[in-house]
Amino acid sequence: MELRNEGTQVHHEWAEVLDHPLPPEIEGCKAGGVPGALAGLRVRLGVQRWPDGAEVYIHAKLSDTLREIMGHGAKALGEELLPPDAPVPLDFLRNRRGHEWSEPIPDLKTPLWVALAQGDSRHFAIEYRLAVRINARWGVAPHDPITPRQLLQAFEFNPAEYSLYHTHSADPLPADTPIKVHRGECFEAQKDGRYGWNTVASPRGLQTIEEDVEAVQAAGVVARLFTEGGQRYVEVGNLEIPSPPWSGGVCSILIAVPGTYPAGGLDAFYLGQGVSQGGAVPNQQAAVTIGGRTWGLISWHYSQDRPWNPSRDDLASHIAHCRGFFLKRGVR
Amino acid sequence: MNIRISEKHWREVEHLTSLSFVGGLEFAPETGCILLVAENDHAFRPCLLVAEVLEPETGELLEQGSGGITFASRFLRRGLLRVRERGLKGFLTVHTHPSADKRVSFSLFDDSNDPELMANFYELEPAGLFGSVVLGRDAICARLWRNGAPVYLEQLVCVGEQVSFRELSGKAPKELPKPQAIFDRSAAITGAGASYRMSQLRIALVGTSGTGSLMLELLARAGAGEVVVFEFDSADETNLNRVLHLRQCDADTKARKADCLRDAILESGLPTNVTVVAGGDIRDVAVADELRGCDLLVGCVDRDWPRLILCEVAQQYLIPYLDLGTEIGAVADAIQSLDARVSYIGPDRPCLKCAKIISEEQIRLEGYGEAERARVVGMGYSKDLPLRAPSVMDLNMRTASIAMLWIRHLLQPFLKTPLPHALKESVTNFATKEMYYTRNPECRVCGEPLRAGSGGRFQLTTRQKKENFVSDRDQPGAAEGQAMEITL
Repeated sequence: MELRNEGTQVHHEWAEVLDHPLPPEIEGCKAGGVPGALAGLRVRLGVQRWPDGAEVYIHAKLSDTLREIMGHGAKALGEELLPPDAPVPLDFLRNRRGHEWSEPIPDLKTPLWVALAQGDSRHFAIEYRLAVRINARWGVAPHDPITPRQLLQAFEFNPAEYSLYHTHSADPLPADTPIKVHRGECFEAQKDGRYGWNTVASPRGLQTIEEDVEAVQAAGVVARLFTEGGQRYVEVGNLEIPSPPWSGGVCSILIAVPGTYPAGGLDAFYLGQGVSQGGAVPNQQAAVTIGGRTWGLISWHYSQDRPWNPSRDDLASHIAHCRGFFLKRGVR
Repeated sequence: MNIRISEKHWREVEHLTSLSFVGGLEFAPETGCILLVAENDHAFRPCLLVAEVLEPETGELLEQGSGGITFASRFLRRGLLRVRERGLKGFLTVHTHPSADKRVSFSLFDDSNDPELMANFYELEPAGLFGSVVLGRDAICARLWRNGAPVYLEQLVCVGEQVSFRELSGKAPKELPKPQAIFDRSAAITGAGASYRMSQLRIALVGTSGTGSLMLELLARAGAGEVVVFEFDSADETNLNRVLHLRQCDADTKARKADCLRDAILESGLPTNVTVVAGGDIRDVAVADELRGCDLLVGCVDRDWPRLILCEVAQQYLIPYLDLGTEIGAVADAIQSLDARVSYIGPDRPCLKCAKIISEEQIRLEGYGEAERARVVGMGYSKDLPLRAPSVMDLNMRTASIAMLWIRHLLQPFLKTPLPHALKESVTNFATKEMYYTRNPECRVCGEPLRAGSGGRFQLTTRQKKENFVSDRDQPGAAEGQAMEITL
């Protein structure tokens, strides 16, 4: 009993004096773990802002992890860690060895007694970093001031698609105008909304006819691609046309697709039999059979002033061009 | 899940996207807007409610062409801030496919861009609801994004001069089934489509006494799909002069009126389902909560408080509400007036307060417990609530008949439009009058722009939920101080 009291007394003295040599019970228990009675011993520690803040003192149990000590220290220093309540904060904990500060301690789950047994001193420092939040993500601004573009990039938002905003503002921050950021500041990154019915993923001029057919189908056009004798055609059905003057309200057209599409553009079209203007079809050339059906070739062309442009035109725009024939407008 | 929208807002959408569908334009541009939505999270009839249509400002639609459009982040940002400001649930982007007529669907490009855009919205507002709508000339497709995947919506229900339904599948409207043979003789005014819609309607009927019991009969004979009955009263002998199907034995046993009527409809063999809501008093918050699961509200009550609640539900959940009323004006033994009235309340229409059919004073009086009410009346500044207002079936029939015709009209129009705010028949004068009222811009029910389409954002004026609360109508002379609290 006396021995334990004596031991306890020794430990208490050690616990209160920061630079007192490590008791042998702790130094010697590196492998086996801290004795149960010592686990709850509260020791005095120094904590300061890195690199040269004034040191304040806290008490922590030997069994506390360095993360817990970091939290106690931050509280004593009056500035919470960021992100709040994160198991691994963006801020760093460092330990003083002699007159030098260690690199940031990577494993904050380490209990204090282990850290001490491994040679750490009882002087710690918290490196508060320029942590900011964008949407739900926390990160560290690489420098300050910083442009919104750089900040978005640092958070892996594509600045070509996203704009940065202050939390309650509807005005985007100019992408290349540096802004002063504060630790803990919150921003919101909003993406542009891109929609389009013939704006397929491939840039115009590089798309395939299959992609174009899918796009017009998605837009509600009845269209199918088929091949006959090595030649590809797109058949467009249920195309609404004005009646009168046409004998029916809908028709089918057939568009021949050159093998060089889209560089080699679309031109003219075939009209399925069954509609006419008073029994005749203007501009109709020879009748042919394609896909088991009779079609009349309609001479309806792009003008020299406005030729097919592969970087702008596609199947959808050609269908619109063909509709111009029925509406008596457009180029021919 | 459906979307409900007021006719005014739908017209705004049509206006904002009209350029895409102008005839004669070879390359009509895509257009767009944003629908700010609230959620009606009713257990089995959930829907989105369009609370506001956000118009793009200059420079907020980029790269606007016939094949594509970009909503600038600022436009979406304004939508998000407005959602937060109004306490709404989220929004739907709306864009057009100008070449799509009777069929429209999201393009590959839309499909490839929406997931990241929606993920961005959910990162900013994790509890929100976000989605997109694409419009063709005569077709609409709409989807919500949930857990990173699209959930396609079913119908757009537009409430206004009519109640119209548009499929959100992106396909042309399907041919609706023909009415059952038993409704053959009514097909002239409720044709195939309207008859089918009638059979799909879930109609709240609040009050089943003099006018309510007649309304239930008329709704069943018109082929209504389901009538949800809200009634807490029991039969007594004085009801026998005017409550349809009530028998002496029901009065003797104090049978619940709602149960008697349900059984009568069941015995008739008509296809209408009748659901009786437990408790039945819409002044109770849990009972009132069932109203938002209905497509149409029919009020047959003689008190202002439930009428106020029905007006609030109509505004907040964009549900059309028909209020029925009759009044026999008599001095001593001389009849001065016999009036039958039907009012149509809904989004962008004046409420019953603005129509002066219900009054602040009456609402306040009804909100008191009996003892407190007696004290207030005793002060001499307020009239007491009439307990035994005169009522006869022949007059009730006139208002029920008008209301049923209006319901048919909402599904398939045949009356002169725009509909008046109310129609009042003065039987003694052989006169029928269209009534129009002015909305008070300061009215907290219909003048409050933030209330319309806001779903559960605002609390209804129901009683605060209380443990073992006993209605003073159920137990006359209940303990003093047991006031019914109004949650204004």
